[in-house]
Amino acid sequence: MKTNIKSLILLSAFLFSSAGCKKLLDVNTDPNNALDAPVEVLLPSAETGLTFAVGNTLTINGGIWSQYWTQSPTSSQYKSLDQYAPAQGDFGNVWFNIEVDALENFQKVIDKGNATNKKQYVAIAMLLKAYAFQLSTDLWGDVPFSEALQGDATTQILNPKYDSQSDIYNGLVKLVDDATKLINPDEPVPGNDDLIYQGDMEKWLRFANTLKLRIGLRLAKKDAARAATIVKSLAGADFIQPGEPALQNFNSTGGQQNPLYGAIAGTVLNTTQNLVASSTAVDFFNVNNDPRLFAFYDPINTGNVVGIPQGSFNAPPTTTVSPPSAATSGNAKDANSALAPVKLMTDYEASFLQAEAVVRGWLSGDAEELYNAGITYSFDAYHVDGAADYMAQPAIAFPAGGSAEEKIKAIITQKWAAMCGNQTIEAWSEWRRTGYPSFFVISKGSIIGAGRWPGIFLYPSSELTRNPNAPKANHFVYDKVWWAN
Amino acid sequence: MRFHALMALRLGAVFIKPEKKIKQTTTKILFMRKKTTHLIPFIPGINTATKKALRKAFLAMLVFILPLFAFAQQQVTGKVTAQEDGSALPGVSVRIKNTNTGTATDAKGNYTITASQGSILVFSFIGYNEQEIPVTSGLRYNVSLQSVRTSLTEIIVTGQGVKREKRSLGYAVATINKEDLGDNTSPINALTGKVAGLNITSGYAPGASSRITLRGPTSFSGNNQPVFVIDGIPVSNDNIRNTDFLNDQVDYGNRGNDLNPNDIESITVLKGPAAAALYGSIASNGAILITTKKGKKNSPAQINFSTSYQLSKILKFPTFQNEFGEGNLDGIPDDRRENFSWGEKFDGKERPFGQIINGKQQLKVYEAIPNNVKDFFDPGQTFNNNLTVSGGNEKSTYFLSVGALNNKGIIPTTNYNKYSVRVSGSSEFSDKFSSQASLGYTNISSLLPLGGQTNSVYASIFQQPRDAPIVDFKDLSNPYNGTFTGADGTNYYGYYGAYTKNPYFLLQNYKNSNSVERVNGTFSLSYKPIAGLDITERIGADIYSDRRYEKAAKYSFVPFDPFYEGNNWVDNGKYSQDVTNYTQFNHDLIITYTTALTRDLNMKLLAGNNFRMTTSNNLFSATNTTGGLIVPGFYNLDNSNGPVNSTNTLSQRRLYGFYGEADFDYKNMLFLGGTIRNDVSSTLPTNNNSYVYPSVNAAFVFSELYKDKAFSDILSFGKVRVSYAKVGADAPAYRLQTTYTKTDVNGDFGEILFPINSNNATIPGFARNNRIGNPNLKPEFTSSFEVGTELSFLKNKVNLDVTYYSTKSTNQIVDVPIPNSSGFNNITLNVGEMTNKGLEIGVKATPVNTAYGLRVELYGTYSKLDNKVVDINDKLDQVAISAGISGTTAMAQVAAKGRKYGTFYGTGLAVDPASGKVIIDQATGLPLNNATNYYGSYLPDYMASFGANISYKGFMLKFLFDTKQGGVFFSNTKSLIDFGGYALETATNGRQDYVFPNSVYQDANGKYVDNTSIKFHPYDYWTNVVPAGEHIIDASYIKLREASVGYSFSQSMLRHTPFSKLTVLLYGNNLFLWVPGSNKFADPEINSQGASNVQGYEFLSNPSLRNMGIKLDVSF
Repeated sequence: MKTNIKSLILLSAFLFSSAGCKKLLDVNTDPNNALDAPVEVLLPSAETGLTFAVGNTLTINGGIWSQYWTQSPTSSQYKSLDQYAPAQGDFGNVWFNIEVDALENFQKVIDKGNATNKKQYVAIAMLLKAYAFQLSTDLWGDVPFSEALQGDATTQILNPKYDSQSDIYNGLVKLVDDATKLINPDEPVPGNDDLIYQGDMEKWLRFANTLKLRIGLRLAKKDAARAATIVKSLAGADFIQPGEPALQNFNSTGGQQNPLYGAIAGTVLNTTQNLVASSTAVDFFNVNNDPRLFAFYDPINTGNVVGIPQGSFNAPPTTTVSPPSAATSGNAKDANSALAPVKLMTDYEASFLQAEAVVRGWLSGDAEELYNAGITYSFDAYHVDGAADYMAQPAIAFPAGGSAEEKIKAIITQKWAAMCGNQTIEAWSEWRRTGYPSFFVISKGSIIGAGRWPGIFLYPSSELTRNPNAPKANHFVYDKVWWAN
Repeated sequence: MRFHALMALRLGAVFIKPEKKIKQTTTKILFMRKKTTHLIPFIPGINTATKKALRKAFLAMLVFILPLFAFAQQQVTGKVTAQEDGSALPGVSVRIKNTNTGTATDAKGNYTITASQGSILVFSFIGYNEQEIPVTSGLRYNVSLQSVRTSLTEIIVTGQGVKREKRSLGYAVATINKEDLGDNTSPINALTGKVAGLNITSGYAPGASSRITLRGPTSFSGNNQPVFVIDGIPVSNDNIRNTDFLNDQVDYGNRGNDLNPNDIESITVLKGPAAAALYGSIASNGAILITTKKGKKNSPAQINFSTSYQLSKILKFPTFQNEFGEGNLDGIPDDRRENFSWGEKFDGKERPFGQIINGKQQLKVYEAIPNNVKDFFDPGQTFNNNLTVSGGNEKSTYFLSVGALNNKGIIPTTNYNKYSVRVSGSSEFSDKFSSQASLGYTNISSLLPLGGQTNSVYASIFQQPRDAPIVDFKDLSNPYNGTFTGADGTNYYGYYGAYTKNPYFLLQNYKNSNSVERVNGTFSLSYKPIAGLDITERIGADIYSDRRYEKAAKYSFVPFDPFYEGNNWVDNGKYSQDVTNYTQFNHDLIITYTTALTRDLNMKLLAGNNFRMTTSNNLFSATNTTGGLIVPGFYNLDNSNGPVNSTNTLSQRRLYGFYGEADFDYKNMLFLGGTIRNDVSSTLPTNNNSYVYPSVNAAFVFSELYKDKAFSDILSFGKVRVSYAKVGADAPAYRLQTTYTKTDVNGDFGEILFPINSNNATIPGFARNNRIGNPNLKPEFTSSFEVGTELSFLKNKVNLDVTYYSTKSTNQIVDVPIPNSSGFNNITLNVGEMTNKGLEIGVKATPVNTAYGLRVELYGTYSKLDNKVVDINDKLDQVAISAGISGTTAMAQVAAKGRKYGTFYGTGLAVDPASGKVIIDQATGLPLNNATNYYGSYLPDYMASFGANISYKGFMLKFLFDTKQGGVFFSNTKSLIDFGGYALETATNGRQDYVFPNSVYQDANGKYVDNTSIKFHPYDYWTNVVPAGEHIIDASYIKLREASVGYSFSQSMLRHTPFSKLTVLLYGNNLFLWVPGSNKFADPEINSQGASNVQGYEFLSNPSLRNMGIKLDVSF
């Protein structure tokens, strides 16, 4: 007995004190996460981070502030947008989607692609990085750019400084130019892991040109000379071709659905129809006999598409209101909404951009032809017939004899119509830049005072509370970004 | 003297094979479960035959292990009672001095021993002063023992289970004995108000989380709670919960509350690092040492049974307005859908409301139902039954306890059930070897309510108009409340509200259940080869599985009334399993050597080695987040509509510690001690994973100098103490690398989860982990200095214990939240410095202690804490403890330079710094709500308590008040009931426009001008503009924490019964609450994040409860 116990003590002393300390302690390699990942799995993640941001919060905010949609009187989720009084907390997730889900992973594709000589991955990532940074500066104004995305760099920057929007725009142009130089379809290219163009580098080249055109024209009012230089450098370039929009498709499987529908159908909103047709848009389509109305909205039981005045959610409903159509991902009752793509840039947008560049004299071409092409491609995208009849109407026809401003008004107004439901945030940016469409109304729900429009996103709490380089005070929602001033 | 105490520590143990014990416990659980309701027959007068038979059976069992000693000389008898209340003391050891002869008192305190004249009888009993009686010619010696509670020879369990006299310690400790724990289903909550410097926060529902901290936080993001140690073995006090404030928030409790309070003999609180130095890193925030009950040597079987029934009610409801009813925009009281209470003034007229079903609508009188929310809740009911059997002979002891707690919650359908078994024993199986073992098993099964928004009943009932008859919604078969199928097969709901679901419908369709099985045990073996040398090997394990099952029904109902179109009740359903398996294994080899260096100088040396291994494995699987269930009512992962969402998380950590202690004792007057420990941890980089830290302490009992002088009657005991200690802490596991993780993109709502299908291919995705790892981490350190004094006045009638302490924590390992523009969300860094300076005062006085039995004991504590975040690093001025509640509010909680830990930081009203007045928008009259402000911390400025224990013969009365003053908390209940127009403050000024009090506006020249005329509309303010900062409320409170009144029947009254003790007790805890007038919303103690560092967020959390019970306690 005694010896047994003695040996037990000795054994345990041996086991725990003297046996290989080091080996026993070697348990700190993370078993829950991978230590490395190749560009082939990072690119689709980053692309999805971007399309999620665009298709989720931004489609909602853009949809309401571009007056395609308004808050349904029978629910309340997006009231604050129609009140023009969002909380800064409302911008935290979309900021995270853009900065972390999208941009950081594009940066990783760039770093790793350069290291492993996968230049076409690098090119795509740089283009989408430029796209995402433009999105972020267009929405928030001054944002971190030159020092952003360097949290894990050797020269670690944890609190990036805020760059002026003007400087960021210079950086965007350089990013797109550098990416364009890398594009070479003869090199190994991505396949299905590129969720947007499946590695078709010819399409990416045209995407690059269109993006640069978008970047250039955004400065047209604020800094015409700079805008002209950017746009003129695109002389002779090809832009996004008909039927080749840059978009990501989704499917009906839970967790793979269109990000707006995924939100609506998810456990919190439980298919509540918060977004309904705004009469601002419905009236426009009706007045102009625009058959796309039924592509963008679903009729109520009378067979008509019915909208309510923007922001009239407080008025007791006198009728049922049309929901957005499944093609725009916003119909809570139509599961096909899950299949709607998220569009980053479209063929019709490319046409309208070119038309404007031509009107401004920065690109050569026929503005009217490009204008008509834009409308036609939009009809085609939704399989709607009657573009020719539509364009034949005097109110719609290109004002070939009008002033440059009248032409631009027509172009941007038609671009707004074409972007209904699917490129809502871009339409809002173009409205902020040009003031078109000119028939927006101040939301009836506004509580920010007469004559004020929403013009900028509020910085998220995460930036204001964590980044000492962030502005000390947040924007007012009715402030404007630099290029809109 | 001191070393005698140390030897007594090596309790002998019955050496029972563990398997056998386990089997026994299993049988007992089954017995307990089945018999819970049949335990009533133990009450006197009922079925004495059964009772006697049972007792005989127990005694028969004991014959095997109860050796009898008898030497024929002279038969001496007597009775041993407690001086305090005259009650019989069973199990008191009665020995003849300097011999091996001894016995113990029986159940009624009687003893019989054979002793010769001139010998001395020694009466000893744990918790009482030893007494010696010389045997003279008499044959009967009745003895009355004095409790050691007021005596300063108290023995305290210190680091590594070493028992020491309290007088020898150079640092502050506190011991709570079982009598002072009161009646509380939570062993943690039972400590509230009893120890200066101890801060406990809990909602007081059975099973609810309790946060416990000592002397303030020392770490920005580490575990700031003390380590829990049961019988020498550290055990888990984990509080695993999701961090989502908003949705699906269930309080699954923390593991420290698993222990059955009835099994506790005493709890020693080691307040600072000095006291806890030997436990190493895990004790950098102090230690809660729990000693479980044990059998007593030389004691016949003691059987104790207690049963209690407890009622619980919500302690505090928000104050609602009762002026305005259902409606929106100050009107439209007949809006059929509305759940806002922004309607017209109540007029008492009968009005229709809700859906028109088959041409008919319900009617209600348009008047307030003041208690509509309150009436929804049931009284909570808890049955608590406990049975213990214990005893021992000369060499061994045994103890068995079984407990059953069965609770029905305040929310209909919820419950919480806990069954526990504990067995322990000790044996001295030779003069050199002894061992002891203790094993506890706990089984918890519960059905818990949801908090937060979405499908929680709180969110539903708090959002009902003031005239909504909530309890009338109970009958779900009534078409106006529930659901039904129309003639055309359509599934309809007929409930009145378009924006909220019927709370009873929610209860029926959302279930969260939890099942915990936990075993923890310790086994130790001591070998004493030569005098003074003791080698003890102690191993222990704590193993639990925590299984959580959450079910949401799949349903789809449309409103019957077309007016409601679009307001459907739809849920795709959910089933999730969240299973955590936790194992902690702990080994200590401790060698102590005690010797007298000279006649007056004693020395004790201790060397030890510790190995600790913690493994936690979590498997979470849920049906597809958006797809939900395929078939309604079938809760299984096979029923997932789309890919199952599954994650597994393994966490493993190991640590070696080598430690030593040296203590010197000069004339039992001057004490000097020191410890040193070296930890080697798996979680730190190999070149930085070994760290050493020391502690020193000294105590001087200056009253020894004048021991025999008259002065000692006034200052009967006096001691000063001083200590310094440093404790290192390691990192959480896996913080050294930046990794990649499976892609999961989340937004405001909705998510994309890889792999995804695209172009008929399955595309996998990995993304950069949003936390940056750090290969250069160093251990963090907390150093602590304390001085204190213990004074006793007037022959120990008044005792005072005062401590001043100062701690400094440096190099803290923190997942520092960083701006997302860095590409990440946080980074693990060594940052910062935080200090705590505090004063702790404990007073205990016995002003009345009369010969006829009246005893009044008063006690109180006061503690003040001055916490300060001194520095973060050169790049950062603050780190977030929580990143704030996304979505609805913008209120973060931070550690900010120059401020207290836990300061709220977020959006609030803009204020003109010159005048301090609120700036309004001239266009609307509404205040600007875009400022980012600091709002004070959840840490109180000071805490205090006052209690009394009054006894007179068999009667006893106890009460305890406690208070925290000075902290703040964020109330989302306020936010919600403001929004809906239910809160009292929304009825200010009769809901007419008014000028925002103390406001200014900026004129055209940019100057701030006093606003006296620009009015705003309350509806706009409360439904939209009021920023998060306006929901920060003063968290100060005073509570009647405990009160009880009881009666113990005297021995004479029990003479003809089989009972040796019978006590009836009425008790209550968390009974009354007093808060400042500004808090019309919630008990500041409730918290949505349970026991985590994020405190003071009340986000529709489970409300706190007032508990009242009756208890019957009998011993045989």
